[in-house]
Amino acid sequence: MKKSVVIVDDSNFLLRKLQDFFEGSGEYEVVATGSDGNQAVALYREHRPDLITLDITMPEKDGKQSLVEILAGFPEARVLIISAVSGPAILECLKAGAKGYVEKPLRFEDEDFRAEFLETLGEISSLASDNRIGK
Amino acid sequence: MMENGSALETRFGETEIIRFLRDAVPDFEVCTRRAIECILAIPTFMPKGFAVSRHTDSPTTFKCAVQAGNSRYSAALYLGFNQADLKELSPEESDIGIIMDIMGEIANVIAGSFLGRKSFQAPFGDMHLSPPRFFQERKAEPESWSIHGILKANGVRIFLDFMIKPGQKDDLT
Repeated sequence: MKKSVVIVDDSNFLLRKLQDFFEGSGEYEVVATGSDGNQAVALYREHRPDLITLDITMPEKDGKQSLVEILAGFPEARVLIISAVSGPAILECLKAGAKGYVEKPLRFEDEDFRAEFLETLGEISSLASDNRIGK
Repeated sequence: MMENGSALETRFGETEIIRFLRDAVPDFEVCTRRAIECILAIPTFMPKGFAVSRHTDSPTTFKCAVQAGNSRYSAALYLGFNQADLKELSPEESDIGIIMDIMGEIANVIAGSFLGRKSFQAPFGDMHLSPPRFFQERKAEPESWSIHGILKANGVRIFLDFMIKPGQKDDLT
């Protein structure tokens, strides 16, 4: 059975790239996409996906705030941060409970990058499953 | 917003900012070329090396900016381009809106990677980034200094400009 994914990024270009990547992998189904932090929280609540990806820099509400709100309501949520922001923001997101972080730019033309990305997604899925069982 | 690093106890003045910008030119070149080449999947060419000087506007019809700031400094990254050239940047993409979106993503990636570097964070601290914004005319900043340069991709000139100045973030566009 395919895992469900919600993708949230304020770039339509990247939403399309990520959607193609997830669906092309054969392992994931994109159930919804959003373009700001408020939509991220609402879409998570509505779909309860196996994975949600969040950009950090977004209008209305940034990815860090959305992450905190999602995890407050759904501690088992599997959140992957995909952002160009580096430095302390990464650690803050991971400390807040994000399961992983992928730095932009996303090099989908690079086979090694695609393989590493899928590996990261697999690790996040297994981490989250363990958490759920533990709880 | 987290601001760490002992250098933040004293605020850089114009002399220190100019020195920082001159030292940061190679890093800025790497960040800009990497972002454009990864996102557009095409090579870039630098007709002339990047330089530091007083801030001036680029002679382009469109600008895209990502603003950044904390309680001590404000910064902005600008991409300048001519709207008529946009299709050349991504010939397989027919939707101009998507190409503008790509330009915004490039600005976002350049700002995120350049401002995330230790060499930037040590003196200036962590900065909050704005989403990319597009506009045609830019507010003049004659007192500020910036790194600026031109990259060519698919024959299209992209003007790049990074400016930082003391003071809280304000509207730099």
